[in-house]
Amino acid sequence: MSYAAGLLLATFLLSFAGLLLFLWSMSRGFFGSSEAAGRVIFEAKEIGLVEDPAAPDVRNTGEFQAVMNRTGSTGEFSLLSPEEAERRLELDESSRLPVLLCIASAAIWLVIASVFGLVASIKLHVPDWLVSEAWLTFGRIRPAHLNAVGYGWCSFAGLGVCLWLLPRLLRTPLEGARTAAVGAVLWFVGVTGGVGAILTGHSAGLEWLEFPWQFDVPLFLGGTLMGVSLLRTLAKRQVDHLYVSVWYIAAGLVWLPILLVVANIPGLHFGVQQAAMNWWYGHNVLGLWFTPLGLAAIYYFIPKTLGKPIHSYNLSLIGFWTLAFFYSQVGGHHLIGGPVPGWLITLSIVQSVMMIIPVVAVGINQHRTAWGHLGALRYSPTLRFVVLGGMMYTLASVQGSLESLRSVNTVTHFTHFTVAHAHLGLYGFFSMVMFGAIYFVLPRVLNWEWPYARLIRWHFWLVIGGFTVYFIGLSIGGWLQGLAMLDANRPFMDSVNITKPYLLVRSFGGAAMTLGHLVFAVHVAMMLLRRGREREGAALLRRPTPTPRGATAVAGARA
Amino acid sequence: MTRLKQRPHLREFDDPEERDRPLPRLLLFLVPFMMLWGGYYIATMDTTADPTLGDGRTRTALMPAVGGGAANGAQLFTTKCAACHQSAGQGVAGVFPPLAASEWVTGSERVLVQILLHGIQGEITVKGVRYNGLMPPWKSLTDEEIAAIATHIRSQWGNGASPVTAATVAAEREATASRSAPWKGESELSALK
Amino acid sequence: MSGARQVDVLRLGLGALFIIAFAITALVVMPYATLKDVPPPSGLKAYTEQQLRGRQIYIANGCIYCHSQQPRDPSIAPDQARGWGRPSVPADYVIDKPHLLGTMRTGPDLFNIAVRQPSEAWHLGHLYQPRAYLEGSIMPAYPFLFEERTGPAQPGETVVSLPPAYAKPGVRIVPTPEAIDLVAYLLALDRSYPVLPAEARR
Repeated sequence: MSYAAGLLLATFLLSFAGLLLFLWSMSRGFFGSSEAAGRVIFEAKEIGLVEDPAAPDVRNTGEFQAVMNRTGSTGEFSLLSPEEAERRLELDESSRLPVLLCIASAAIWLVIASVFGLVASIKLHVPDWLVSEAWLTFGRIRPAHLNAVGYGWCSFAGLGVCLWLLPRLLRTPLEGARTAAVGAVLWFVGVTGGVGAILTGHSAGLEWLEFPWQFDVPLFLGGTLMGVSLLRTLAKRQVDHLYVSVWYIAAGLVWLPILLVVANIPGLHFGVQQAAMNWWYGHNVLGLWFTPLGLAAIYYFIPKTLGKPIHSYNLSLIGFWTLAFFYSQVGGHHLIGGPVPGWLITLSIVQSVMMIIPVVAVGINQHRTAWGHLGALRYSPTLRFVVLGGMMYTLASVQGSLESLRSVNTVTHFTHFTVAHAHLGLYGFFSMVMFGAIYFVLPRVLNWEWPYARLIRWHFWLVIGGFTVYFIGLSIGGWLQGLAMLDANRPFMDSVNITKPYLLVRSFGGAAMTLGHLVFAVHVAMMLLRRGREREGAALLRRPTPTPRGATAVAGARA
Repeated sequence: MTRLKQRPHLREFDDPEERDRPLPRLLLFLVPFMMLWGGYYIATMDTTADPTLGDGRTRTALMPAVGGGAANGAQLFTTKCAACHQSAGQGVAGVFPPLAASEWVTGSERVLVQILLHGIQGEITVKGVRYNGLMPPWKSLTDEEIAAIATHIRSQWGNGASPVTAATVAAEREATASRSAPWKGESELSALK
Repeated sequence: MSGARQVDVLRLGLGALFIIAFAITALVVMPYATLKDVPPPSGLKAYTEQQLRGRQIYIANGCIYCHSQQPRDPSIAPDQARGWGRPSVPADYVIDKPHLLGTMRTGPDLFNIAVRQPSEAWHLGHLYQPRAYLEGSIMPAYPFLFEERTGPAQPGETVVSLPPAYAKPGVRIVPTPEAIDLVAYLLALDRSYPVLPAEARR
């Protein structure tokens, strides 16, 4: 056995030994009882008011549901003491400025990014459309789309939600809200400059790293300022127990600056080594930045809107550490069959498949938390978006594991199938979760309800419908494209011609998504300007009907 | 505080907590299983591969081509010629001359081989239409490859001319070995006939 | 209490740092160490200044989003049979900064485009209007890399030749220096040299 293979096997076995040790120590309770620690974050009166999982059939026990919705369906809020309510308000107010800046920026970039994406999509089947100007060419609009989505919409949404979440979870007002706000402004400057640089032909040329380093500097500084604010809050926290969302957020904030710095060291990277670095970065932006933020939000909003605790602390821990360990090494699977050392590819394939462990752990945890309460999906916008996002996280991850296998990758590599997969992750999972989170956060930060439930419905059906069309269409087209390319007896143009109808379908899906985003952005703008109808109580996707067993409706009403 | 009653904060559930539960069996079975699979995958990878050559490289593919192998005329045509002369040999009107029913393709095999070897820069009339372009030389191809291409285009799209042998190509290559510039259009080519 | 608090944060921080360090070692440092001393193959020519300018045009206009530069091994995919060249090796890329390996093949691989299409005239016309030369192509046209000229032809002028369907009467399409540079770069994409000596054949 060669040196590389031996090293690889040894590393792999060692890491697994570590994991097994971790599992064993957990089963022996070396990490302590989480429940005792968990109670710290609750006000004295709140404990014991959530559901009892020992109840025989939680879905049909009307009595139990009445307990679960402890205030009944009358809209009376008798249990929260004025002091506790004040406390909650205080926490939300502490983070208001940076949260609003981030969410407003997110909405702006979402619209810009969608328009870029739609234009790029149409250009693939109408190639002579908008060709006279250099900045409108496909090769500039497409990276502008990716960067506007990644660093504009997704990062801003994630940061905004985290800035709101951490004070809540730590029961500590946000430290240095102004610093964080300055950070958000710097981040905006970085994204604007970077996207501008791409459109004017100053791309640095690496996927996910197109921004010239000059614009990575404000990104780095902005991210650091927001990170410092959050980490200072962490240091001053009023609770001892770290809820699982905190783990994800804090780790993500540690990882992102490291990623940015290593990837942008000037003059160091070369040729194939740079390609390996490129995909180490490209996949870690997803795995160590967006995914932790998205999972942090899922871990908060599902139990929050359902009023149930997370199923298992141990599962949360396993999910977190295995995700971090395995996900950070999967980048090489973007270069399967490429001119990169074979051991690197093998390592990345193995770790990609290992991703099944954290996905199963997170999946079981969320499933067991939400099960029996899916009826609330009919009412709560937050829950509907977040639960769907969580399902698509599982789907995207399993698909990703399969796609990294050589036999599958040979077909899907270099095709639109990969593009569809990327959208399942960053859109189906991350963006959906962020939509749900923003529907929850904004009313609390602004003390203003969403004015039109109808707009939320439109938003939901446009993006979910559009995305379904997008994903299914492009996946089929990409697979056929890959099969055509693998058949040496078919001319290359076959692989182009076969995708054309699917590219058209994708544009229709993308157009619906873009329209949905416009609806969403208009609604956010109304919120920020306090326009539209003044509402009492939550904006729900449908009106709860007060029936004896309609308690699930009320569960939704709480979103 | 009068508005407090209406605040969205007040209809919230508690901030979530985590329960203490034993790990699900599924996971306890899954982890060792995955471990076995990963170990197996790594242990069975190609350990003779040289990491400085890339992923899954076949060493012979990286060595100089060995002469004498059978060349695939259709495949060579698709990769080297079809971009200009099009896959059906019809050319592009006014820009690239057709090969289908072209007198230059089905005529003298010597002239055809010379065109393939050195290319053309200048005017040429094909099927009564004048073209003035530049065809690049293909003398970097082997004799077998040029013979295969010539044979292929002489037998496709209704063309019915005789095959060209590698020996003919070798002889033609030898005869014009000193030439470095493309043929200057049909005036020079006609003199070859 | 405060001791337990610190343990949690410490465990999280150190764990996160260890994991990222591990990933950097495996995916960044190790490839660096493996590849930093790989010598360039003797057949690999350094880019000229013009070709480097063309490379920047290639980057600025995002050719990489549809064209890869990394033929795979015949045992994996029929890239070689498509005329895209022998499988590429790390040594082929030592002069590439930034790397342009690409991840999409909406269009064909370009690692050896100069080998299969050495005609400057074809490249210029194809860039101006891909569909003039290749029916059904979905590559964007790049008219902004060309000028339209009327009046008497100037000496030394390169004129793009187009089929009647795409030509405008009385107008000559002349490439800008950027287009000429880009094509110079494309015509430098020739990695047909062998990377292993024939003697290594067993």
